[in-house]
Amino acid sequence: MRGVSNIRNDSGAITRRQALSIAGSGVAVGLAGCMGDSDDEDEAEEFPSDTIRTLIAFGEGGGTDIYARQIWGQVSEQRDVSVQFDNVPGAGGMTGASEFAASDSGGHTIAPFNAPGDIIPALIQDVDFDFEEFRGVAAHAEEEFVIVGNPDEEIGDFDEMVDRYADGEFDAFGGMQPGTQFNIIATILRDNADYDVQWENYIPYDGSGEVGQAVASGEIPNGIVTVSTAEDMSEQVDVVTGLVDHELSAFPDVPSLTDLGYPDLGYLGGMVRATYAPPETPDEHIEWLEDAAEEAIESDDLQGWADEGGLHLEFMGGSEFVEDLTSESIGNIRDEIDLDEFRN
Amino acid sequence: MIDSLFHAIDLVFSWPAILWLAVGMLFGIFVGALPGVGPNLGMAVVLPLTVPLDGITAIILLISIYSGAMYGGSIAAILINTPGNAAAAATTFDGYPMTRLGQARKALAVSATASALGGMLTIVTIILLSPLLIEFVLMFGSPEYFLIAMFGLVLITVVTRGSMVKGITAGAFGLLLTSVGIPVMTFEQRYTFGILELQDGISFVVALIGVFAIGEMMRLAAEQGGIVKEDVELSGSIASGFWEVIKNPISTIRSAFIGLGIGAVPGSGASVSNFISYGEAVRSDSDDTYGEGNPKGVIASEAANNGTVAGSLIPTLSFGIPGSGATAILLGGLLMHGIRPSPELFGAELHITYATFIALIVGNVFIFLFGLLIVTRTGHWFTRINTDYIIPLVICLAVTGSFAIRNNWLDLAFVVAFGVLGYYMVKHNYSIIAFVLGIVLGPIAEENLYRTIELGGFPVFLERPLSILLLALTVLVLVGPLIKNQLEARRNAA
Repeated sequence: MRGVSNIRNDSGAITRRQALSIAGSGVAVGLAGCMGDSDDEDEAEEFPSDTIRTLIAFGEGGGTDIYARQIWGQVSEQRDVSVQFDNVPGAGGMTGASEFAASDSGGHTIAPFNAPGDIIPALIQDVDFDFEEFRGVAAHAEEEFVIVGNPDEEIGDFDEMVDRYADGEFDAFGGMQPGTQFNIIATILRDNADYDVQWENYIPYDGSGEVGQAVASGEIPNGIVTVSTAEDMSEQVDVVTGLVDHELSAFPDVPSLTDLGYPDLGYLGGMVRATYAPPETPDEHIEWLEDAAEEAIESDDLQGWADEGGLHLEFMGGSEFVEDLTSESIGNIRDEIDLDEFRN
Repeated sequence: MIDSLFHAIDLVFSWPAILWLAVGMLFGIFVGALPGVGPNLGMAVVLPLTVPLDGITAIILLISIYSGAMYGGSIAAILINTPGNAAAAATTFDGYPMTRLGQARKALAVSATASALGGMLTIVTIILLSPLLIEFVLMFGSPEYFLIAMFGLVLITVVTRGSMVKGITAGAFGLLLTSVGIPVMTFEQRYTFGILELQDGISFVVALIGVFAIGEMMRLAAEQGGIVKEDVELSGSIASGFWEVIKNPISTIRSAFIGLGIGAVPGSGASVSNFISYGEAVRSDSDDTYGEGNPKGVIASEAANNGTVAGSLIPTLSFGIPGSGATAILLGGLLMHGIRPSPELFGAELHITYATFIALIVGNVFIFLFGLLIVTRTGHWFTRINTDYIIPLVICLAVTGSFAIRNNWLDLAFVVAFGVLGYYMVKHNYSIIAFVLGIVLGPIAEENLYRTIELGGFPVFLERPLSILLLALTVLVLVGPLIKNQLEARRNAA
């Protein structure tokens, strides 16, 4: 009523006919909106009509947090839109993921997750959402995983490492907590006869850096770390093999498992950092977010930032790429791994 | 090395870096003094705002907040028995009794002096030892971390006053609470009852805020007037506080180095070091006035928590392993500004590391001057304010701060529950320090014991000199008093 009362004719008074006409057009617009009519295009042009909320399911200062703040901070600058960052940590990212799944699907909420690392806990636990239903937005970095060894052990390559576990010379193998991607890789390496790494004791640590430190100090002979950790500790540890199916960007001379003739670990051998939107976010909003992310990732500012810090940052793909990656990862995990082994 | 040092000095004293250092210190002291806020929240709030700054200036700002908050925590601990953060919890044991006795000014002077000296001493040490720091980090492994935690737990027997059974019960209860959640070693959900918010367990910071802040406010609610006892005159000078620290160099140095060592242990930080340092001060001193307003208790806690800042930077800068929540955010700040933590920071990029260290030295001078000239002159006014005004303010801050730590609604319930628990523990003489040692050290002890067992069990403790030394110290603390009593009994009998 307030909108109608503000509209006046030249004389300053509103006529009954005009009031009915305005009210009628309001009803028509309302009905069209309810019916999902062709005004979607206008809506898409207006997007974003509100602050974009970036829900980060991890604490401040972690890799996921920093990449998200850089990319979506750059989007905010380039597109002159308001972007808000909310950290909702807890339960290995599941608290934030659960809130994200139930959030507004109008395109104004996005969240960074790492595939498949952050998907695995959701598959193991009985959560009330499905990562496969999340909409992909853009993938912006790949973190490769490697096996490192203590330099004093002089482990030549992966084959020699396998032999030394088989001989009983080594028994401990390190990685991150049970139920994490590192742990699942270690389990596959042990249980799959093609690899046959016969470790007896899996030693879990809080993070990749801690695993690297344990290998460097000789507490454990080998462990799985991210390639960033291996680069940072290149004087203290030897890289035994890469777990991805391609040449390691930081260690091109180190053969990967597939170079040595072992089966490919697929997406499990690394981690792709990506941005998601809640289920049922409209395609045109996803397109806007995808374009904005690509523009930000490829900007000189962000590329300069990544170069300066020796970080990997590239637009790896948009919505389709992220959704395919997510589905394939989930399929691989379900096919390859007995998830009950990790459940209570 | 010398070139890097001069380059770093130039960076720190250049404009606007020096301005941000002062801003960071002031902000750090402020957030550190607010119960439930502390360095983590303060740094997290500022982190995204550092984007326009250059990398080194941003790190100087963040590290200044961290260091300032370590000191700031002591202000509320001394004045209202509510540590601004977990790192100052042990400061309450003697700092607050000093306030009750009208010696708030002296206690604040002791805190400022011990914080500044502890901080500076440890920073100078790590600058001198910087070529060896990587090797230092690699000396520590799971057996050593477990033994440090055990040493802290064994100190329960030393710091407990009155009934030993009550002390051990309180410590065991603290340990028991750490079994809630998903442990690092297995994917097993323990006592989570299917509640997602319980998977990360009970936050010891929330427990600390509860037992200290809420518990103390409940106790104060039964009293009239201000915090200082009605019949007590304000006494204790700033100079006497300063000289108290200078007269006890051993306490200051020992506490600072305990902080340095424990700071280098990932996952522990100042929330552990202040208790262990306090416990060690009680153990090694024949003075039995600890807990009743002994300034040496304040020295032990405050020199240790500022010493921890230097220690925690070693694994953070060398291997990107954060020793605490605050260093995790600092790590994020480094990455955000294109500085990647690695051994290179102790090699080709040594000037960045030195700039951080120099900023801390300057920051500690700031703490010293600000503490002695401003805080000591104004802080004691707080103790005369009617508690009717203080209680709602502290409760609001404590509850809000508890929630803000992890945005977990359950923490609101926990902070109140721990407040009630703390109130009754004090009333019935159950040791709060024993409880805190249990809840803080439990997870560190558990996960490192698990790893040590997986690595080969007890013989692993005897493989490296450092673990043998720590084992011997732990056994000595445990059985030392028994042997001493036996010897004295025999001597008396003879």
